[in-house]
Amino acid sequence: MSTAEKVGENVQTVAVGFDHVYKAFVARGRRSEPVLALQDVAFDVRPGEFVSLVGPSGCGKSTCLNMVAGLATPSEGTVTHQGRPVRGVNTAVGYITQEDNLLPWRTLAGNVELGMEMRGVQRAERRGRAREFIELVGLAGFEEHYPHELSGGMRKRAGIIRTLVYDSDVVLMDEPFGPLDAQTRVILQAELLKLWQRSRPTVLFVTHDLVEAIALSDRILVFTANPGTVKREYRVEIPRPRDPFRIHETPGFGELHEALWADIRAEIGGGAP
Amino acid sequence: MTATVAPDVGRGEAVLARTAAADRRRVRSERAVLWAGTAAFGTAILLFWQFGLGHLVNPRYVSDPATIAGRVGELAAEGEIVRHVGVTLGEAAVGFAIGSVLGLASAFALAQTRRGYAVFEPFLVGFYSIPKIALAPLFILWFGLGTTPKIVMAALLVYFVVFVNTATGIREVRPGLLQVCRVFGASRRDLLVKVTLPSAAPAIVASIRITVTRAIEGALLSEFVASTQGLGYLVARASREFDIATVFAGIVIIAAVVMAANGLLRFVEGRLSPWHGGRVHG
Amino acid sequence: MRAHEPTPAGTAVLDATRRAHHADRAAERRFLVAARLGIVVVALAGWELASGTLIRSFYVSSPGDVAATLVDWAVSGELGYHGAFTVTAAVLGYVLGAVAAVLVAWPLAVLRTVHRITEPYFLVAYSIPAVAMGPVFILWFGIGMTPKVLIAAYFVFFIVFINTVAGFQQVPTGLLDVTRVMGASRRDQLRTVLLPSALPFVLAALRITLPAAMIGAVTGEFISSNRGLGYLTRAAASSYSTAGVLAGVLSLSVIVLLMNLLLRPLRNALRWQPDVDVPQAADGR
Repeated sequence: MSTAEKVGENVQTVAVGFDHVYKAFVARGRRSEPVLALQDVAFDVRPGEFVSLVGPSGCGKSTCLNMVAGLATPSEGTVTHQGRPVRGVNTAVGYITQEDNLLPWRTLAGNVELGMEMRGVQRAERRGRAREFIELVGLAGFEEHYPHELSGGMRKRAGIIRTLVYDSDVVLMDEPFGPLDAQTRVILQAELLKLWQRSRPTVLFVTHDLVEAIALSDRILVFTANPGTVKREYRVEIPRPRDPFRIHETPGFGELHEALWADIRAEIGGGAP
Repeated sequence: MTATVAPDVGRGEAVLARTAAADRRRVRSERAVLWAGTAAFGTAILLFWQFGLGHLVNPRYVSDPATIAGRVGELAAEGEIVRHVGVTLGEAAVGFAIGSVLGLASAFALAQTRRGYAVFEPFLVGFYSIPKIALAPLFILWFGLGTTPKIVMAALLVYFVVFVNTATGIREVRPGLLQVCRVFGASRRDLLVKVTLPSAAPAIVASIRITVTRAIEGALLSEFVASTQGLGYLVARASREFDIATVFAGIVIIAAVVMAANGLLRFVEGRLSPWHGGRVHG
Repeated sequence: MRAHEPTPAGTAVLDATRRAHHADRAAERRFLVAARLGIVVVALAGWELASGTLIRSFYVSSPGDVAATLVDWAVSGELGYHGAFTVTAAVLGYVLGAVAAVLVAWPLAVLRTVHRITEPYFLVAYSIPAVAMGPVFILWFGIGMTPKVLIAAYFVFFIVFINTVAGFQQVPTGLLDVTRVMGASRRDQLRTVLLPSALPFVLAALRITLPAAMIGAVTGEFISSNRGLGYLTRAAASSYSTAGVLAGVLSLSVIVLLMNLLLRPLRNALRWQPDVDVPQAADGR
């Protein structure tokens, strides 16, 4: 067999599948040589699983999410969602992007209702569900505020519940807590876990933060630098429910963090410490 | 707890090659569509104007491209065009030079005082609100029918735009930059030469480029009001004589002159300030 | 985050800072008002005194003469008659130019290829100084109101057009991607993303183009007309009345200032967007 072994065991049902995916593209605007972003990426995600993709910047992790969402197409290989290849924009998944991408001209409540509106949910139900989620993340009282009137953490919360509120079976998250300060980050991780426990969607989570990946995931895939490919897979055996505030103290955390860091360091070219 | 994976490298090369080829094809076909579309659209307009428009309205009012092209040729052959273009461009150039130098100088003078800009702001807004064309007769009363009133008008239009942009550029220098340099022990002169000037430069350069059009406009405008030579005179005279072909020929020449001046300045601007981000007011 | 009550010492510092700040601001305001008034008084007095002594009053007139002319015009009804004509032409041209620009820009902004094909021609048209089109409109439509309206509309059209296209094209792709994944149709996207995102640019253009329309109308009147403030100013010039020219210039400036004030609320029309930068401003002509 010339291609890589598939990562993931006992695959009965697969929520998201990457079948030997390659992706090359030409940077827009410039006349430059094409870049191979992904090379022979192969992994499966079981329904209800929380999987993090970690790796150096520019290793194509976000491209993976874009392909599940149908915003990008593989140059070769297939990406499947619930066993069917993704063709065109995949409106069955929820996508939480790096920027909060809230509509500046809609209030918090209006933004949270947006996805349900597109899916034709009745107004009364929309209102109710939006209010419920807004209360869940402690944003009650800010319903009529516009995004520019909210703090960074509040906007992130809004961006997350806006997607979770319409119950997709697969949720893609691209460094959702990227620019936040350290405290807010941990608070939001805890809130995300709480929300996730409610309906347990499948999550594909891109992050740079190894602690965050350990705190949240069932499984962590380490990507190589250019071109991106799955270098190694780690299972996180820490039992749930987890507490992101004390994740450092959990048995097994230290070894896992060290192993992950060693892998990443090899990729970013940092030699011995 | 872990599983290692060994990827297939050879297929990566193939994917790269295919993507490159597909991208070249896409770029080529896109360019072809654009060229063909642009050419077809332009040809359609000219053909319609030449053969169709005359049936809809009196041809006396709209002339046609062939006649206009002929007029441009005649004007060029008589050498008349060179004279008019020279006059207008000369007025615009002198006015441009005077206006931009004065604009720069007064903005920097004002920046030397702490509250200068705040004091003068309402007057500036007032002067900005004057429709400058209304001043044309005044300039003619003051300076007669020669080139002076045209130069003054061109300088005036240039002056305000350069002044406002330079003043804004100076005031928008990031306070952090000035602070850091003050801590380094920079003198007031150092600050002006090494921080304020370079960081205001993109806005200044951009404003200077857009004012070239303003200078030409100013010269034309006063030539319309009263003059004996220049492109504005050519068009105004033709218009009084109901010679629509010459009017359009004049406009074609004006557009060509403006575009050439713009292109030249864009080129110079690209050479002068390789960094960008200048916002233009006015 | 929990806020703590300041200690008495902290409160004292806070109060002192507040008082000092208010005092500073009051002093600053007094200085500005005094300095500006001083400039006005000195300029007017200097002008009045110099006129007829240092410079022939034929050239510069004098503040008194200009004021007298304005009062004359106001009493005889000329000011109202000509002002109404100019303002009507400007407002009609403004509406015409703005509506036409939005109607042309909208489809072009959505159909990218068509826009890229037509763009060079718009650039050529934009390179023609609006002033140069004056004689053409006068030739076509005579010396009445129509050519003035059209020249004003021409002045307005390109500014609104460029801003509207820019407004549609600066829509962040992130918003488009996110709404697509949510299942938005093209119509949904137009309603929820494209139109609201372009709106501030259109409003900004509308805010700055009314004075441009005014300049357009006056330009038309200067080239050929028998009514309007531009005509009045030019007529004064033909009879060598410097005071008349200055009175005309002054009344036009006041109208433009008023228009700017009138449209200023547009700046804060959208609660979600404090303000927007305008790529192409119109004033300064």
